[in-house]
Amino acid sequence: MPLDEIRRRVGDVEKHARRRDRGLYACAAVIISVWAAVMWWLPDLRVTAAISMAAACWIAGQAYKRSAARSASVDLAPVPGLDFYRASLERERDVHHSLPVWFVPPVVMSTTAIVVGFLMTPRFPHGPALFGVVAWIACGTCAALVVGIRKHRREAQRYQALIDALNR
Amino acid sequence: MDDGKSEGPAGQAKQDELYRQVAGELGAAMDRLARAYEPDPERRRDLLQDIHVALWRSLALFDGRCSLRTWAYRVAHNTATSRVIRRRGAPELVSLDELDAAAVPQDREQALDRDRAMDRLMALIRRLGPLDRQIIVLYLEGIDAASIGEITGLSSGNVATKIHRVKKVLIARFHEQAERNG
Repeated sequence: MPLDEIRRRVGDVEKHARRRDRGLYACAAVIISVWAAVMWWLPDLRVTAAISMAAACWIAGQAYKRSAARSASVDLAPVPGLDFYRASLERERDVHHSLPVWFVPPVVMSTTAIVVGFLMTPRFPHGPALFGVVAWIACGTCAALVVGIRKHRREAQRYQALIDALNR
Repeated sequence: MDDGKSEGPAGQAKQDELYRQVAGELGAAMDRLARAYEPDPERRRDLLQDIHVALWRSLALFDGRCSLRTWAYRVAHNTATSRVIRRRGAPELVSLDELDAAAVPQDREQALDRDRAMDRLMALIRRLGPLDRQIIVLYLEGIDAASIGEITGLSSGNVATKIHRVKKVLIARFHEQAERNG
């Protein structure tokens, strides 16, 4: 492979990482702006908006931190195969293991704040439509969290089984 | 993260020189290695490019504590192993014992190129877990047990035992497939 081509590919990888980070910042910016608008225009939902903004910031920050940690460092590339394999499996296991820990509390907090905010505000008349929306938000979030937690737990167990097989 | 760039033009020139040396000596071996990890030609090309990029970047850190060949094989196998670990929806990898005990599925068998022995062997190798795969690929390259041990981090004795077992299982499975294919 020509060296110019290699340098071009290294540049592409760096560009891709920068683009991914920009996408993450853009998502966080949109969510935060929407909640900032809610804070400004709907003062009775200020607490809900503040909690949701904090949750969005926390999730974006963690996603950025962990996605950077996931990419294998060039330092690890020349280590013996067994060490590299074990380290890679442990990293993947830890990612799946820790994901619910840092992802679930802010989502639960934010959803609770939204549900309570909707029920407390006099802005929306208490009727079947409001209760339906609130129930949909609460149940949808719970279902997504349960499915996500179970999936990540299964993945973490799968990686742990591979690590155990290596240690045998 | 280290971007794999050497410090200064002298470091960069040394890195480039080492890369040229490795690519010249082991370029064909890297092609064969990629074949043991990727059956699809498009993905194989992609993997091969990733290996070369990882190799070039890693050579900025080469300190001569092991031979250049050992270093290159480690980087190449580790890059390929990363792909195996992260791949989603791939066929489940099996241990040697499982490969020995498992029946060969007919449809997979039909999908193989029946006329090419190497393809059949590679298809079997690709079902092995990363470490067993590394060992047999290096063995097929004619590398001795001590050097394989240095590359993989296993003891020479362990490598020799594994080579014996992998060979035995692969030969049995290979003959079984050949008989089924008529």
